[in-house]
Amino acid sequence: MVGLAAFDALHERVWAALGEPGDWLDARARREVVRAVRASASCAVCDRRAGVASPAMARAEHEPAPLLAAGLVDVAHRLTRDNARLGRSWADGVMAVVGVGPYAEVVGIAAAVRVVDTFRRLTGRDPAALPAPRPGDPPRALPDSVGDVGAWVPQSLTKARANVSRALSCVPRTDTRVWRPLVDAHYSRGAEFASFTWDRALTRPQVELVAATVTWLNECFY
Amino acid sequence: MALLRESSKALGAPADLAALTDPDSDAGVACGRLLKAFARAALLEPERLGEQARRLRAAVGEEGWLEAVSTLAAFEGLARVADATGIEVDDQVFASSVEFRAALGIDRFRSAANTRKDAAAIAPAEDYASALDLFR
Repeated sequence: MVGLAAFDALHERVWAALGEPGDWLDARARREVVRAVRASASCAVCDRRAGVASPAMARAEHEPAPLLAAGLVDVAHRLTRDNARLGRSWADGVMAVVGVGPYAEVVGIAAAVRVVDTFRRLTGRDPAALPAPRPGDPPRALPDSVGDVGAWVPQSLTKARANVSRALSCVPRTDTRVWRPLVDAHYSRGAEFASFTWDRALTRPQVELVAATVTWLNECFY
Repeated sequence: MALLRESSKALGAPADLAALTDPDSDAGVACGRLLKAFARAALLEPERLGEQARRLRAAVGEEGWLEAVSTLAAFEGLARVADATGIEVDDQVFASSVEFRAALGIDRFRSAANTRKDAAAIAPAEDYASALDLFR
């Protein structure tokens, strides 16, 4: 059993990690990603885009963020508001301008914010304050261990993990300090994952039914 | 969804995956209707969220409700990571999901284009459960 206090403590650690320099973005830019994710909820551009047949038909002129390229702001907004219509041509176009590393890092941050903000909303709390940024420079380099395995971004070349488990392996700080701790605590919980009999308040099929419903409502093929 | 199928089979009560989208069905899972209704309200029907949360808490208890919230939040992130990184569905899951993908219209999702495989060319796993270890 993982109680509310344990989740809150985890989220504080994740938030502290978001306040550290990342893989390509410094801590102030990472904080701007958090702000952009939240701004998307009331974004008029996103509202207009939701109403057109193709997202490419609406110009992506969101409220700018001073430390983020416009393309990265669009990634944060689209990931949050229009994730079912993301396409490779759009992603390739963004990455050609901003780089694959920054793209992947924004994906990881935006997804993490979605997890934490959703959890706090459903448990009746306001969103956490923006992360406090700490000084320092990110390494700005892709790990040698990643390459093309058929996804839009490079991933770990070892097939020891499922594709979703290595999806953000090209941004290891974001992956190991922000993203994977959330997935592990919220869902998979280490070695327990390989068992169909979970000692939790819900059975494994009940948990998987929630997971399947959310995935289907998000129109996520994976 | 493959994990829903496999875990429910392992516990001796196979889930009805085709009923996932039917709000009147529990899909063969205890409290299934309430779990699905809570998830739908959390994502799409904010005006019903309070009511659905109360009903779910009454049925599965405070800890069960928190487990549902935890899972729901995780998959709001996981779906986005999968969509935005363009990952392919892993071989065994892809090969074993042909029927329910068709039944639920999943093959029509835009992100289906990210997986370019031939299910018939994938050798079935001898022990599907062991394939789960990949997902840790």
